[in-house]
Amino acid sequence: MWNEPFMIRALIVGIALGLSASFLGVFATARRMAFLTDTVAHGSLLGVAAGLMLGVADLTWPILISSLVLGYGVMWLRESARLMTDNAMALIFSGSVALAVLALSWNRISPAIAHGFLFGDILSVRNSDVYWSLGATTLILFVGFRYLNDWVLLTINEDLATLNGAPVRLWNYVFMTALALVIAIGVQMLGVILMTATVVAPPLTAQILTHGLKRQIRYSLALGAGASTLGLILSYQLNWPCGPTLALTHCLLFTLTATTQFCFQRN
Amino acid sequence: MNDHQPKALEAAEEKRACVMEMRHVCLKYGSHEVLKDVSIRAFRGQRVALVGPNGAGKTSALRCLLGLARPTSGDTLLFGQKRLKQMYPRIGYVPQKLQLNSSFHVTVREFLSLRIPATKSWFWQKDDAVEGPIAAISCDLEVDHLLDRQLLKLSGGELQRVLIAFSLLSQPEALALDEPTAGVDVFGEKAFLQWLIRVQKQYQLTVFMVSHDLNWVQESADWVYVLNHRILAEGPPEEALSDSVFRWTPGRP
Repeated sequence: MWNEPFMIRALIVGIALGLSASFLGVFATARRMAFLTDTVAHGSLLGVAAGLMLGVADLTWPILISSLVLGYGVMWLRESARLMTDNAMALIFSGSVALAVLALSWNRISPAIAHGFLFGDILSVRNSDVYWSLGATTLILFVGFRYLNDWVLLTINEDLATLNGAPVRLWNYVFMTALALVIAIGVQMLGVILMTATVVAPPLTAQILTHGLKRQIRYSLALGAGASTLGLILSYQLNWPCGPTLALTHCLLFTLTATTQFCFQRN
Repeated sequence: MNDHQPKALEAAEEKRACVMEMRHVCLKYGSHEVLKDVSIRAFRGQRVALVGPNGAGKTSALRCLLGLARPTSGDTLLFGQKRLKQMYPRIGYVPQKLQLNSSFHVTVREFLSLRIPATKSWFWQKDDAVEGPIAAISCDLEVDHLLDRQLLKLSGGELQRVLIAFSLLSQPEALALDEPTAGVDVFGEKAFLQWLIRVQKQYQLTVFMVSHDLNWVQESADWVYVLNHRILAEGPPEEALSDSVFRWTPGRP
């Protein structure tokens, strides 16, 4: 298994993504941004369509740009338009996917390629993705841990963080950028439909297992990296598609933990 | 207290002692005028209350006063300075509630340690490095039994106490509170407010609070502003809360 170069690449990208996505997930779930993550992930299909139409070699760029545009767009709606963000997101979600699928069909992109982006494709992981994921994860974890007190405080209450001297607006945009970056790298391996599980599941599982935020972050990181590795091994051994196997591993870990805890609490 | 000081006090001296000040502030959201020519002052050591009906712009006024919202026109000063951000370390802010999901497992101890200025690398700091100041303040404010509880599972009154303890960790000179009794039940309210007065005196704080609790305001505020988009009345509680003002108060004849 480990003498296949594509598995080594997938493992590196998987672990790096597991770490950065689960770290961001701790804050995204607390701030009720799970649906936002899903919207941006689905919207990144627009980037795929645009990239294929223009014949871009490295699809990470167009995906990143479309994720950023969507993410900033939703943030802008939240800040200024005083619109019901949840409803607006539902529309953006459907609209962007519809447009992307139409664009793919106009350009006669084969369904097999589109399928790969919807549900992920382990063979699409290239050397450039390895560099992207390592670079992004290092950057995200460095900035995140360096300014963790600001991030935690603004998650608890933005006004409180402002009065404590944190540049709240800047951090909100930095956070959105980090999330878009993780999504842009993740969707090629995991698919736009399955990406959200890697962001949302680890912190939720960690939350059941622990008490205290520092531990929740540690457990979340471990679960993110662990589930990625486990999912990849399962996918290889059982010859199952990589995206669904990874997403299912995350969901099963959560379900198992929640059920076990429920049973123990009742006894 | 300043409002009892002789009138001969020089204007300059009065200006120095003015902790929070709003001058002719207007705030508009589109065509909706939330605040109309609102002027508010809180002097050192005072307990100032801002009361008014729901939707009167109380929270907006507080947010303008702290520079969290930018007024359409008018000035805001903290400690006589227009550069509000530089004055933030001297102010403690106590929001009404928190915004987050219960999936965030931050404990009270972890939350309090975020306020200790010397510890920038919060994640790596050892618990005993911040134990001293946290133990001292939490004992003093009677929140020591809550330290290992989850912040999001506290009751309204407990949360307010913890938020105030958080503010006091950086030794501010003033506290701004947004409806501190909103989440406190009727039985806990009196105890909570007596506790607040004790803390205010002990730490020599200037307290500015937005409140709907007229009983408490009447008993313990030094100066009251009655707001309904504009200032309807101001003065010592017995004057400001005269009958004419109670027209908007539900449950009063």
